[in-house]
Amino acid sequence: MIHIDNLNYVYPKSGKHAIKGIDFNIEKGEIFGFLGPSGAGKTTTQRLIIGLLTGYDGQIEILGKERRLWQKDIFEKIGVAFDFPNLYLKLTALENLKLIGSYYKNCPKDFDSLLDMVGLLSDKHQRVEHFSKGMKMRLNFIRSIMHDPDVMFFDEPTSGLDPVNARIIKEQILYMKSKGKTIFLTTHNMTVAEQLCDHVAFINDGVLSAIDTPSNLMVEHGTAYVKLRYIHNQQEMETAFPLSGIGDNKAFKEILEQDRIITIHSGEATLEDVFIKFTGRKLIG
Amino acid sequence: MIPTKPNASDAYGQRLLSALKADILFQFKQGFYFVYLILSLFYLIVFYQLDNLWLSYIMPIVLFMDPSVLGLFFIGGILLLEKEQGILSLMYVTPLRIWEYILSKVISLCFISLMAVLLISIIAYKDNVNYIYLVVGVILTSVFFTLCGFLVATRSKSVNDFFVKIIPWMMLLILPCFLLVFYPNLVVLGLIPSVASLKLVWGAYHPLSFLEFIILVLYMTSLNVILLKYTYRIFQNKMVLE
Repeated sequence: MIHIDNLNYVYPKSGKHAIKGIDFNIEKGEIFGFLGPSGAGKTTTQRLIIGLLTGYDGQIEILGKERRLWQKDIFEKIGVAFDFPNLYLKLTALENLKLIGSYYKNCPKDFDSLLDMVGLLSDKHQRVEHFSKGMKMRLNFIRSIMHDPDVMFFDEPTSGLDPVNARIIKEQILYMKSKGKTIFLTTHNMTVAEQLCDHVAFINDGVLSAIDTPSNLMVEHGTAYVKLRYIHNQQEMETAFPLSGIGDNKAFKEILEQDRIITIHSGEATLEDVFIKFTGRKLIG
Repeated sequence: MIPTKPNASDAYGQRLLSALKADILFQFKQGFYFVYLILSLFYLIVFYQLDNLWLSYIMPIVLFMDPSVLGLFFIGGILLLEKEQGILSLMYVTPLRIWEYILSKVISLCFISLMAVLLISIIAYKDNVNYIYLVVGVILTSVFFTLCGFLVATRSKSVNDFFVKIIPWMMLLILPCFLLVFYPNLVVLGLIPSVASLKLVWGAYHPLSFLEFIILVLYMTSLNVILLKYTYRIFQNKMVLE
């Protein structure tokens, strides 16, 4: 569905070399997570594929055609939701969908079903300016998919949402996948990536450092651990030890024997651990 | 499944119509039509106090200011409000073409001006009016000033920034019109776009030869086409791709 080959991009004004020769493929019907900290190049890559940025080197093939050769017709086939809602604030939810939907050849008819999908049916006559951020993001989500596109781009789809709203969006993304849609997701939220993505790519300073399934990355590059919380010299302390060879770990045994243990927890490696290992950077949004 | 129904109608015309509908609704909900209504009522009340001789001088000037000055300000407000609400980014990721977006703004503002001007003139002016001259003059004036406002708005960061930047432009465009009072027969003044469009509106209430009308129309139309193409290029680079 999407093939990226040796993609390079330099911002014309600042001269910043934002994307440095990256390659990846996204197959039909998969959720592909593009992960990285702020400023790493994930939004730039997404904007290049969408066509909001031009003047790149390398290849961007989407829906069987080089991006440069697509006209605006491409937006009949792709749906985009940015990390901020793009909606007419003075119009109601329904008015927004009707107006924006009328730009598409594949204009939706049953707006109520769409609104119901994200729990906004009862608010359809309310002006968007009175919506909470979660409601705006949910409306923005259906705004981006209402023309039934084949490829969907979501930029930080759960950013700033409470767990209930985030779950609604995540469920809808999985529902889209079940319908065979291809989804390109940029996020710095590793939990979202673990839960949703078939493949993830790590980007840092414009370079891709790894691409694989989340589970493979965690098994190959992560480390399972045992975390102890204990009292040592009347001070509460916490130490984590690698799970492998724990039986022979002297420091671990000493704590068990000499100190008062409060809790013992074992944990698996997370995608965030793997990311930090690859890039040396924490995922602060 | 998302319920969908393919629309077989002409996509270009359909999208432009949809954009027009969106713009008119947006302008209505933002209170632009209300402002026009209040202003029109204010003009009507004032004009009712004047006799037709006075009106024949004051009305064309007021009716010229309506599509020009208001058009200049309104387009900036609309564009920057839409930018703040993320509508500009949205427009780029829909099939709506950039020229459809620009034309829709120009046509919707032209429509609102035309309605106000016709309403005031029909109600308040009792003598003969050449409504063909008036309609053509208001359309060409509105398109020109809206596109000028468009260009200034593309260089503005916020609504406030736009208002600061538009004032010198407004002075530059409007002030030469006052020269007409002192040099009514100076042909070269007609080369200034604002003067040319004022002459068209003025011609609806005072004698204006058909030849001069045609020359002014061709001149303003050419200017508007050039300005439209330039606005398209600047708008694409400045507002959308940045």
